[in-house]
Amino acid sequence: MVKVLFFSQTAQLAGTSAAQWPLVSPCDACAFWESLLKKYPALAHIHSACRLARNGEYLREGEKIHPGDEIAVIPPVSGG
Amino acid sequence: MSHSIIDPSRLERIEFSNDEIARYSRHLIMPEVTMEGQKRLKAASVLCIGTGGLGSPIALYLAAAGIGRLGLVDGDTVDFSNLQRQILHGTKDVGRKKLNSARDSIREVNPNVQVDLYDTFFTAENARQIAEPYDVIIDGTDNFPTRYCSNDVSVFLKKPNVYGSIFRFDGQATVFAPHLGGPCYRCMFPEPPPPGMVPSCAEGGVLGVLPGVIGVIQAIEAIKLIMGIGEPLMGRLLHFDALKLKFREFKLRKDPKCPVCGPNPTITDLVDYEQFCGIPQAKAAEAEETLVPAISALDLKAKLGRGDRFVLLDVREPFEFDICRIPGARLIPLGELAARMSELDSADEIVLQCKSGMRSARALKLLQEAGFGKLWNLDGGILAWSETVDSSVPKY
Repeated sequence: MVKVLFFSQTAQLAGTSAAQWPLVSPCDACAFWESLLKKYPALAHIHSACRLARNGEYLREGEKIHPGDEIAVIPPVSGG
Repeated sequence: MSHSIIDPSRLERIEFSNDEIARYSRHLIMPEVTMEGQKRLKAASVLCIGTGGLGSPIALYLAAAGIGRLGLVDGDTVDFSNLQRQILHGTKDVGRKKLNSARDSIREVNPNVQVDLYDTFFTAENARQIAEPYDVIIDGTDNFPTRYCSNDVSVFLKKPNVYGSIFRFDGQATVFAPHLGGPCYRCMFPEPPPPGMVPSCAEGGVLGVLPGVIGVIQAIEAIKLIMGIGEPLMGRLLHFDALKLKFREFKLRKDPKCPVCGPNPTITDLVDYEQFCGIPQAKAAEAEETLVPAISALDLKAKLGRGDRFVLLDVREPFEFDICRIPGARLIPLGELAARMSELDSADEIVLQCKSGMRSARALKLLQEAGFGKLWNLDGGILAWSETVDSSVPKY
């Protein structure tokens, strides 16, 4: 399992601020998004602009997500 | 302890009157600040882009703290809907240029501050020239094109950019400074969201106090950079959730592939930021989408006056219907229309209406596809109705 945290607009679109996500083996960001969008299709509109953070750090290119991780979904916001 | 971004040679000619010493006394007695830190503030110049929700606390607190020179950029005028959060402006300022109102408020707080006014929006055409004289750039803008523009010009001019942004009950803040080893906005969000997908304060709403929290954090960070104290919020994205009252931090790194601040940049000058964020393309698509049979607010009034038989269908949300409505309108929110179409008769003439005319145009197309024939879209929505027919209907 991984714990997924949604912030700002992603929380609004997902309808929740946190979810437990089944994950048995390490996966990359692409595969993670693919499975996430199946459950939360409303995120599809903005997912290309969102970033993932793994255990409090922005996910680096090529870095894998592991079972037990906490993954934050961070959307851009523009209000001022 | 970090180094001040203000060169010590600039402090030599800085002096304070006795009134200023009294004014800043609570700073001066802290060993972290002293006369040295206060001189740095007075020697420093800060550019605040935007004098809205974020710009208000930023400008007021920097002025009160004793910043020497404060540049303000805004081309907007004060509207009633600003007053819930934009504390630079008061009720008497509605209709005035925001810059004039901001200047007056700042003078009231601290007349020692030199205030530079730029009565314009911050764009690729003027950004470099406006930003050049300042030590720190603070981003208090309200849209993605200006944010990318503010980032890029800061990177090119090697100036720290203190970022803050808000959405409903949430805020983000960080400091971008690639020339000091930190990431930039494009390292954090390389790709702008599709236009219209991330609501602005006007579209999504915002808790009035929220920009107070985020703007004050931005002001703190600017002061720390200038005084050279503490640990800057660099390489860390701070997320604030007002409903949970939680701060969280995410570690940010420079993106080695960043097109602006990376080792092999592909963008080396300011670009057309509207184009980069897809705004013109979205406007064209929107114009296409609203290309439906339309009726003006005045014609709708005449139609109602004649006693024509038709249905006036409001497709906004129930909470919007509670704020104001056109007498006689029926409510079916756009999201429920497909499921509730059986409540309507395709033989009836129907005038569709929302807040500004976008959602009702979509609703019209939906009904058209379902075989409805006599359909009209109220041009400009209930806002136009309030503007041209009945000013007793409030605008929101």
